[in-house]
Amino acid sequence: MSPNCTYVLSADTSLSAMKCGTAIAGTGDYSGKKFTLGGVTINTQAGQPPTVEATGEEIPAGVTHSDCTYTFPSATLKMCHHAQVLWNAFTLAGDGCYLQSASYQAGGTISRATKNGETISYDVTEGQLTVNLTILQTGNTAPTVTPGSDWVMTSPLNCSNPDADYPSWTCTLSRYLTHDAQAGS
Amino acid sequence: MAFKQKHDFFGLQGNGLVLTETNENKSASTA
Repeated sequence: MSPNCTYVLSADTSLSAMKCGTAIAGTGDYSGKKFTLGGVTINTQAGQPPTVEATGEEIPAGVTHSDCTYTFPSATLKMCHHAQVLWNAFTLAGDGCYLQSASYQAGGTISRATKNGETISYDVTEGQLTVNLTILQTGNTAPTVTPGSDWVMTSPLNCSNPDADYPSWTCTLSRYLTHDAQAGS
Repeated sequence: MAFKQKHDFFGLQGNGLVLTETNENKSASTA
Protein backbone atom coordinates (compact mmCIF):
# COMPACT_ATOMS: atom_id res chain seq x y z
CA MET A 1 0.00 0.00 0.00
CA SER A 2 1.42 3.40 -0.99
CA PRO A 3 -1.01 5.98 0.35
CA ASN A 4 -0.97 9.71 -0.26
CA CYS A 5 -2.69 12.54 1.54
CA THR A 6 -3.33 16.15 0.54
CA TYR A 7 -3.55 18.98 3.07
CA VAL A 8 -4.40 22.68 2.97
CA LEU A 9 -3.42 25.23 5.58
CA SER A 10 -5.62 26.69 8.28
CA ALA A 11 -2.61 28.41 9.88
CA ASP A 12 1.11 28.78 9.34
CA THR A 13 2.80 25.40 9.74
CA SER A 14 6.25 24.31 10.87
CA LEU A 15 7.97 22.14 8.29
CA SER A 16 10.44 20.72 10.81
CA ALA A 17 7.49 18.84 12.31
CA MET A 18 7.57 16.61 9.21
CA LYS A 19 10.02 13.75 9.31
CA CYS A 20 10.31 11.21 6.53
CA GLY A 21 11.03 7.64 7.51
CA THR A 22 9.24 7.72 10.85
CA ALA A 23 7.05 4.70 11.56
CA ILE A 24 3.46 5.85 12.09
CA ALA A 25 0.85 3.50 13.53
CA GLY A 26 -2.43 3.33 11.65
CA THR A 27 -5.71 3.83 13.44
CA GLY A 28 -9.31 2.84 12.84
CA ASP A 29 -9.60 0.65 9.73
CA TYR A 30 -5.80 0.66 9.52
CA SER A 31 -5.18 -0.37 13.11
CA GLY A 32 -2.36 -2.91 13.32
CA LYS A 33 -0.62 -1.48 10.26
CA LYS A 34 2.25 0.96 10.07
CA PHE A 35 3.15 3.56 7.47
CA THR A 36 6.03 5.87 6.79
CA LEU A 37 6.25 9.24 5.13
CA GLY A 38 8.49 9.10 2.06
CA GLY A 39 8.18 12.71 1.03
CA VAL A 40 6.07 15.79 0.62
CA THR A 41 5.39 18.18 -2.24
CA ILE A 42 4.66 21.73 -1.17
CA ASN A 43 3.01 23.85 -3.81
CA THR A 44 3.04 27.63 -3.41
CA GLN A 45 1.78 29.94 -6.12
CA ALA A 46 0.60 33.52 -6.51
CA GLY A 47 -3.16 33.67 -6.05
CA GLN A 48 -3.48 30.03 -4.97
CA PRO A 49 -3.65 28.55 -1.47
CA PRO A 50 -0.58 26.47 -0.60
CA THR A 51 -1.02 22.70 -0.55
CA VAL A 52 0.99 19.88 0.96
CA GLU A 53 0.89 16.46 -0.71
CA ALA A 54 2.37 13.65 1.36
CA THR A 55 3.28 10.25 -0.05
CA GLY A 56 4.57 7.16 1.67
CA GLU A 57 4.33 3.44 2.04
CA GLU A 58 3.15 0.72 4.34
CA ILE A 59 5.99 -0.76 6.37
CA PRO A 60 6.16 -3.92 8.50
CA ALA A 61 3.84 -3.68 11.48
CA GLY A 62 6.53 -5.06 13.77
CA VAL A 63 9.12 -2.41 12.96
CA THR A 64 10.58 -0.92 16.12
CA HIS A 65 13.54 1.23 15.03
CA SER A 66 13.03 4.96 14.96
CA ASP A 67 16.29 6.29 13.55
CA CYS A 68 15.83 5.67 9.82
CA THR A 69 14.70 9.23 9.28
CA TYR A 70 15.39 12.59 7.74
CA THR A 71 14.14 15.62 9.64
CA PHE A 72 13.32 18.54 7.40
CA PRO A 73 15.15 21.77 8.26
CA SER A 74 13.25 24.41 10.18
CA ALA A 75 11.03 26.65 8.10
CA THR A 76 7.53 28.01 8.24
CA LEU A 77 5.06 27.50 5.43
CA LYS A 78 2.72 30.45 5.59
CA MET A 79 -0.96 30.18 4.84
CA CYS A 80 -0.89 33.24 2.55
CA HIS A 81 -1.64 32.67 -1.12
CA HIS A 82 1.76 33.68 -2.43
CA ALA A 83 4.71 31.90 -3.95
CA GLN A 84 7.02 31.42 -0.99
CA VAL A 85 10.73 31.10 -0.30
CA LEU A 86 11.30 28.17 2.08
CA TRP A 87 14.47 26.94 3.76
CA ASN A 88 16.33 30.05 2.50
CA ALA A 89 16.62 28.12 -0.75
CA PHE A 90 17.38 31.14 -2.92
CA THR A 91 17.23 34.87 -3.37
CA LEU A 92 15.63 36.47 -6.41
CA ALA A 93 16.74 39.72 -8.01
CA GLY A 94 15.96 41.57 -11.22
CA ASP A 95 14.04 44.67 -12.24
CA GLY A 96 10.33 43.84 -12.07
CA CYS A 97 10.97 40.13 -11.53
CA TYR A 98 8.45 38.35 -9.35
CA LEU A 99 8.20 34.83 -8.00
CA GLN A 100 5.10 33.31 -9.58
CA SER A 101 5.32 29.77 -8.22
CA ALA A 102 7.63 27.68 -6.09
CA SER A 103 7.02 23.94 -5.82
CA TYR A 104 9.14 22.09 -3.27
CA GLN A 105 9.79 18.38 -2.98
CA ALA A 106 11.21 17.14 0.30
CA GLY A 107 11.92 13.53 1.12
CA GLY A 108 13.93 10.47 0.24
CA THR A 109 13.83 7.07 -1.39
CA ILE A 110 12.44 4.18 0.62
CA SER A 111 14.68 1.13 0.33
CA ARG A 112 13.58 -2.33 1.42
CA ALA A 113 14.79 -5.77 2.37
CA THR A 114 12.28 -8.36 1.15
CA LYS A 115 11.58 -12.06 1.41
CA ASN A 116 9.23 -13.59 -1.15
CA GLY A 117 8.06 -10.10 -1.99
CA GLU A 118 7.23 -9.26 1.61
CA THR A 119 9.01 -6.32 3.20
CA ILE A 120 11.17 -7.35 6.14
CA SER A 121 12.84 -4.03 6.89
CA TYR A 122 13.17 -0.57 5.39
CA ASP A 123 15.20 2.61 5.49
CA VAL A 124 15.06 5.99 3.79
CA THR A 125 17.98 7.13 1.68
CA GLU A 126 18.97 10.04 -0.55
CA GLY A 127 17.13 12.65 1.48
CA GLN A 128 16.88 15.78 -0.56
CA LEU A 129 15.08 19.09 -0.95
CA THR A 130 14.27 20.32 -4.46
CA VAL A 131 12.44 23.41 -5.63
CA ASN A 132 11.10 24.29 -9.07
CA LEU A 133 10.63 28.01 -9.61
CA THR A 134 8.63 30.05 -12.09
CA ILE A 135 9.54 33.74 -12.28
CA LEU A 136 7.69 36.45 -14.16
CA GLN A 137 9.77 39.25 -15.69
CA THR A 138 7.88 42.52 -16.06
CA GLY A 139 10.92 44.84 -16.19
CA ASN A 140 13.84 45.25 -18.50
CA THR A 141 16.35 42.96 -16.85
CA ALA A 142 16.33 39.19 -16.67
CA PRO A 143 16.02 37.62 -13.21
CA THR A 144 18.97 36.33 -11.24
CA VAL A 145 18.55 33.51 -8.74
CA THR A 146 21.24 32.94 -6.12
CA PRO A 147 21.14 29.59 -4.31
CA GLY A 148 21.14 29.68 -0.53
CA SER A 149 23.72 28.01 1.69
CA ASP A 150 23.97 24.24 0.92
CA TRP A 151 21.74 24.68 -2.12
CA VAL A 152 22.88 24.23 -5.71
CA MET A 153 21.19 25.14 -8.97
CA THR A 154 20.56 21.87 -10.74
CA SER A 155 18.69 23.33 -13.72
CA PRO A 156 19.69 26.84 -14.82
CA LEU A 157 17.37 29.73 -15.50
CA ASN A 158 15.56 29.19 -18.78
CA CYS A 159 13.12 31.44 -20.60
CA SER A 160 10.55 29.64 -22.70
CA ASN A 161 8.85 32.72 -24.17
CA PRO A 162 11.44 35.49 -24.59
CA ASP A 163 9.24 37.47 -26.99
CA ALA A 164 6.25 37.65 -24.65
CA ASP A 165 5.30 40.94 -22.99
CA TYR A 166 6.11 39.36 -19.63
CA PRO A 167 8.52 36.47 -20.15
CA SER A 168 8.50 33.49 -17.78
CA TRP A 169 11.65 31.95 -16.39
CA THR A 170 12.12 28.58 -14.73
CA CYS A 171 14.92 26.92 -12.80
CA THR A 172 15.51 24.13 -10.26
CA LEU A 173 17.58 24.09 -7.09
CA SER A 174 18.42 21.19 -4.78
CA ARG A 175 19.93 20.51 -1.38
CA TYR A 176 20.92 17.19 0.15
CA LEU A 177 19.78 16.36 3.67
CA THR A 178 21.76 14.63 6.39
CA HIS A 179 20.35 11.34 7.68
CA ASP A 180 19.30 11.60 11.32
CA ALA A 181 21.42 8.61 12.36
CA GLN A 182 24.75 7.64 10.85
CA ALA A 183 25.38 3.95 10.21
CA GLY A 184 27.46 2.37 12.95
CA SER A 185 27.08 5.28 15.32
CA MET B 1 -9.22 4.58 -4.73
CA ALA B 2 -10.68 7.46 -2.74
CA PHE B 3 -12.24 6.85 0.66
CA LYS B 4 -15.34 8.48 2.08
CA GLN B 5 -13.67 8.63 5.46
CA LYS B 6 -10.30 10.29 5.04
CA HIS B 7 -7.45 8.74 6.95
CA ASP B 8 -4.41 10.76 7.93
CA PHE B 9 -1.84 8.07 7.11
CA PHE B 10 1.13 10.25 8.04
CA GLY B 11 -0.21 11.99 11.12
CA LEU B 12 0.41 15.44 9.69
CA GLN B 13 -3.02 16.89 10.39
CA GLY B 14 -2.89 19.61 13.00
CA ASN B 15 0.05 22.01 13.20
CA GLY B 16 -1.91 24.18 10.74
CA LEU B 17 -2.59 21.39 8.24
CA VAL B 18 -6.09 20.20 7.34
CA LEU B 19 -6.48 16.89 5.51
CA THR B 20 -8.59 17.26 2.36
CA GLU B 21 -7.95 14.11 0.35
CA THR B 22 -6.65 10.60 0.90
CA ASN B 23 -5.82 7.81 -1.49
CA GLU B 24 -4.81 4.36 -0.39
CA ASN B 25 -3.18 3.30 -3.69
CA LYS B 26 -3.41 -0.39 -3.00
CA SER B 27 -2.49 -1.20 -6.59
CA ALA B 28 1.01 0.16 -5.95
CA SER B 29 1.42 -2.11 -2.97
CA THR B 30 4.75 -3.69 -2.27
CA ALA B 31 4.15 -4.26 1.41
